[in-house]
Amino acid sequence: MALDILKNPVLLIAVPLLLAFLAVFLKKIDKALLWIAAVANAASAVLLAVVYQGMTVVELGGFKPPFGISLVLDEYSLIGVVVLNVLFALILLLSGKLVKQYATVLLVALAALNGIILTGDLFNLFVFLEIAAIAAYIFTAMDKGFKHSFNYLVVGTLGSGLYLFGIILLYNIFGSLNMFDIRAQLQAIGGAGAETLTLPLVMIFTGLSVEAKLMPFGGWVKGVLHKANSLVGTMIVSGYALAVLLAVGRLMDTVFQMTDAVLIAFTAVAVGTLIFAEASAFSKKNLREILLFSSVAQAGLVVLLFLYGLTVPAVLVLVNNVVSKFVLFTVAGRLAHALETDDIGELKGVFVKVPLVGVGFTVAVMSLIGLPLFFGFVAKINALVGLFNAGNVWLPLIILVMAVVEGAYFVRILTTLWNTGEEGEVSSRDNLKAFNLDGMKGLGVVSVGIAIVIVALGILPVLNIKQFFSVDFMTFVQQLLGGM
Amino acid sequence: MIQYVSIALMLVGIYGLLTQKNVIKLIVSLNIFEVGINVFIISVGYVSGGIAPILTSQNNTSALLYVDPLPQALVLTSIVIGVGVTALALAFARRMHKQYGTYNLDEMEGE
Repeated sequence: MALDILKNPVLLIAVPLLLAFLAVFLKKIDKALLWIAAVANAASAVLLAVVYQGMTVVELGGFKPPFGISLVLDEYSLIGVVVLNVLFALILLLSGKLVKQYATVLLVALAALNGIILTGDLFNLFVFLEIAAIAAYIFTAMDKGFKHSFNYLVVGTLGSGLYLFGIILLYNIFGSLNMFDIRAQLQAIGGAGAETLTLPLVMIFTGLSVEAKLMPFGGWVKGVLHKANSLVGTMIVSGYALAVLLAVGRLMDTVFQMTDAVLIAFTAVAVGTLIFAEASAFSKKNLREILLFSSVAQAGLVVLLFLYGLTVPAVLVLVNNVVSKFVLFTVAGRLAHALETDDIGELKGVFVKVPLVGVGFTVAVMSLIGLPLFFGFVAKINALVGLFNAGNVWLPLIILVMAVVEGAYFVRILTTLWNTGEEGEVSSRDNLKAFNLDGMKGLGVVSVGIAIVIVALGILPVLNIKQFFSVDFMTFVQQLLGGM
Repeated sequence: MIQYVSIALMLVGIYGLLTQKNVIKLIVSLNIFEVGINVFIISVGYVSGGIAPILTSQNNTSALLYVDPLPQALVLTSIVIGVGVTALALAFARRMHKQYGTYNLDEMEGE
């Protein structure tokens, strides 16, 4: 059938890459090409989801796995490509004018991010990571912040070098670069080789930590993002965070056979990132700085969940984070652009002027904290129950304490941005500053639209709670309530 | 033996990245680090006494001892990516020099 060709996930990579090459020669219509790629990719990702019938492995160049490169489309990567491509189209919609001469770079980034999510080959993942990273170095320098981008470039190249070193060691051990082939070999020897894998796994984890923004390897993120516009900001905290963390999760699912010592070391990095980043976010006064540290904290949380094998909760937390952060960072970037400041104190009562944007922002914040009735609650309760079921008490405790810290600074932001007067005063329109906010209508509509999706995804599982949550969850609740 | 050399090269590169303040020297350190990794990759595929993995009219059987061709293909990709990154880094260095009038990271004003 002629339509069958459209069901091939390789199009998600090939179409933007082809259009990127065309855009180099057809400079005049490069923005149109970017739009074609974004819409085509979003449509094709949704189509893949509609016709999805179980895991498919696409062989490239006719080599059967484990030889050659293969793309893997399963539930895991399907969620990834759908969220990524729809978000990319929305990012483009809300920051159209910022694209300027960066259309080619964004096309390359789109192709590489899809590749990161889909690939089943370790070296292919390295290539896509490098392509995505090079695109990121270029567009983060959009606002003349060459020093910060150079910093990112040096750390990023060092990180991918370490990742490459790690996978070559794995190739030396297993004679294969196919993730699923390595997993099969690991299962065949039944966990006997865990000690041998220590060095490659540490190298891979360290290398990926740079792009995944785990501390201390992700120190570049503050310089790059603290003054970023809405396009650069949302690309890094949504698109890149989603793709790279999904790749980390895929590797942990396939090749990470850890000894207890290695697991403790990786856990320490993830927990340290969570605590450090939440504490940093709490102490900041600028909206974009708070959001970027909150992103780092969420990356730590997601990696922590992946480390303990909680893939489904981790993906839920990750999707919740990137969707919420997309709204938050777009609003922050647009406000900063319109008012030339993102100091919270200067933005007092700004949402009274643009209530639609305010509602979208507020719902995204509520979901990010994980309040009930929002999607974030579903994600976080699954994560916590998963950790409890695995017999872990300390990690849920840390996550809950950090959620309180997160709640504290986000509620502070919300009260300031909605309240025109001083803290404790009755909010009155008389105190409202004369903000000059034009052209926020589109942003308002999109953010309210996303807010409706977030609330819908939060309420639907509650309506049929028994089907959604696992059986373990219900027994857990019953025990908690004393066998009611 | 060659693997110790490559690891030494990687360490030299990391040492340079940690100690140097000059943008150009940082890029050179990055390149030394990459060369170290590339040599390591090649060394993984080396087979003592092996010949080039190309079927010719003389070497027309798979029974001969060939070196592993895969690391050679990988290192080619890795070199190309390295060149791209280096070119981009040099472009950044030039723009930073235009902006600040210096290649020294410590002397660059502002945040």
